[in-house]
Amino acid sequence: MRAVGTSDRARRTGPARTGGKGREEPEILEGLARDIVSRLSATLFAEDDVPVFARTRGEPATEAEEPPLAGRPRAGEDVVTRRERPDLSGETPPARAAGRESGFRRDLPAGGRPVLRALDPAGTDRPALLVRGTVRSGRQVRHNGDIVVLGDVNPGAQVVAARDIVVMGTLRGMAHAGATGDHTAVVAAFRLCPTQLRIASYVARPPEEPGGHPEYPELALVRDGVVVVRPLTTGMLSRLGPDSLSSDPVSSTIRRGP
Amino acid sequence: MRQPGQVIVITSGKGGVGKTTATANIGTALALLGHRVALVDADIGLRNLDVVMGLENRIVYDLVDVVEGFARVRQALIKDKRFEGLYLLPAAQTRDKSAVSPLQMKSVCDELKADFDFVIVDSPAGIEQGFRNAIAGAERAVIVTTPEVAAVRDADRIIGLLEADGMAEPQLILNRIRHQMVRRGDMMDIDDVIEILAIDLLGIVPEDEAIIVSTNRGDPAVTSSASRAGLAFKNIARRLRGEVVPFLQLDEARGLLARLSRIMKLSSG
Ligand SMILES: Nc1ncnc2c1ncn2[C@@H]1O[C@H](COP(=O)(O)OP(=O)(O)OP(=O)(O)O)[C@@H](O)[C@H]1O
Ligand SMILES: [Mg+2]
Repeated sequence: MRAVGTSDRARRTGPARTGGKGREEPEILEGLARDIVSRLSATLFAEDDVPVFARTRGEPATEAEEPPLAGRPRAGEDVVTRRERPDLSGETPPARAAGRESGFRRDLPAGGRPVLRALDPAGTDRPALLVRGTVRSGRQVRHNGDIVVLGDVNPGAQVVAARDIVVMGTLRGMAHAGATGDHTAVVAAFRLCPTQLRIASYVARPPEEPGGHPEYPELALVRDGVVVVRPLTTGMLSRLGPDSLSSDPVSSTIRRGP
Repeated sequence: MRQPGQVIVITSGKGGVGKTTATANIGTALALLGHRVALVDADIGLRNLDVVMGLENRIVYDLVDVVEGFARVRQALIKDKRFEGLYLLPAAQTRDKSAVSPLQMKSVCDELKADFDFVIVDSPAGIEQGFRNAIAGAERAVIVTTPEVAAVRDADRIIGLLEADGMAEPQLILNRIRHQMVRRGDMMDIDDVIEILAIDLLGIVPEDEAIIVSTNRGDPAVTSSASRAGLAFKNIARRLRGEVVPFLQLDEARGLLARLSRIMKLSSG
């Protein structure tokens, strides 16, 4: 009888790594995430405070005034989307506007891409993850696609999605949309009062203004290199595009409309 | 080159006696005195220090990210929003104590003390791995207890463990003293507590509603001059850096009263 050699073990564990199609394997994920992060030259230092997100209150702009959301196809259009694989190269995302429009619209320092996480090494196409009930402190929900929470997300809880996050309740914890690098991802909530918001590598915290959050649904997205929060209207949702709810990371041709 | 700072762990054994409150207030007080201070939350999975400091929404990386190599210590440190020279290294909320080993904790503390005058580690309750992690990098320990039999029992256990670990001369903070109750003889006698634990008294902190208000607001009580507990924590900070500061007036009154009542007990008994 002989001890199991390294090569035997390697062979045995080999297929399990690739064969677990679609299932999240935390160890592999963590390993991959570490891999990616070690390649990033993140430069967020303590001296660089997390910027405050900008909030538009009251009546939202009409659809005519509002340009389509960056990178999103318009509803009803014949579109050819080329959605690239999540870019994890550590390159600085475009549309940075450091320091523009008053102090609190500051973005992370150039090259800072501190928070990206790998969610699924296979990058398979998946439906949205539906979470029923309150996501409580200490829990982290991760999914390589969209996440919809039918309940609240409490302070100390985290929701991390490769694409959009929709909370059909009050978002009080941390939400990270586009966590693998998609800066066109959005966070929508029935009541949006997060501890912190992250979209791709953009990090923002709520303004410390009195009065708190408004009593209507809101949508957070990256615009001109900063995280902005706006009242959520149905018009806005339709401009996100029907196909954008898929999380297909590879190139695809989608035909819609008449 | 600057002299390395000291790493002080705040621990208790029993939960809820005021470790986090003490860490936030002592750290802030030391920063107010002009020191560079790093607070380390070692309570992984049940972090509170960030909330008490009002810094929760600024967290990008945490202690677990640092030990797992996701971030450097400098990147995880959060600068305090009020005081120059005050920083927080937050714990992870979605992980547990086993995510960090004592050795890793020690190397984080060693790195921090090269940059800071004081590194103050907020320990979780208990005597298990979280506690082991918290004390790993510390060369000084401050034990927090309330004047209750169970809390004192746990503090005694912790002191024993620290001594076995080679920690030199832990010091004691007696928290949540209610002077009226002490006067009535309804609360454990402070002298008795010190006699049982047989360690140096670093300070006595009164029960103070301002602590609850400031905790909820994320503003340590030492920032308000009206809080008696805040004043007690300021004095503790000064004693920690070697100053001789007399104990608060009320404590002296208590000492006198205790002595008086003991004399009366003797004469009546
Ligand atoms: N001197 C005081 N006066 C009034 N309330 C106090 C005082 N010290 C602490 N408290 C309150 O006691 C509670 C527990 O305090 P704290 O969180 O600091 O304890 P802890 O030892 O860190 O707890 P844990 O073991 O859970 O980490 C808090 O609600 C705090 O506001
Ligand atoms: Mg605590």
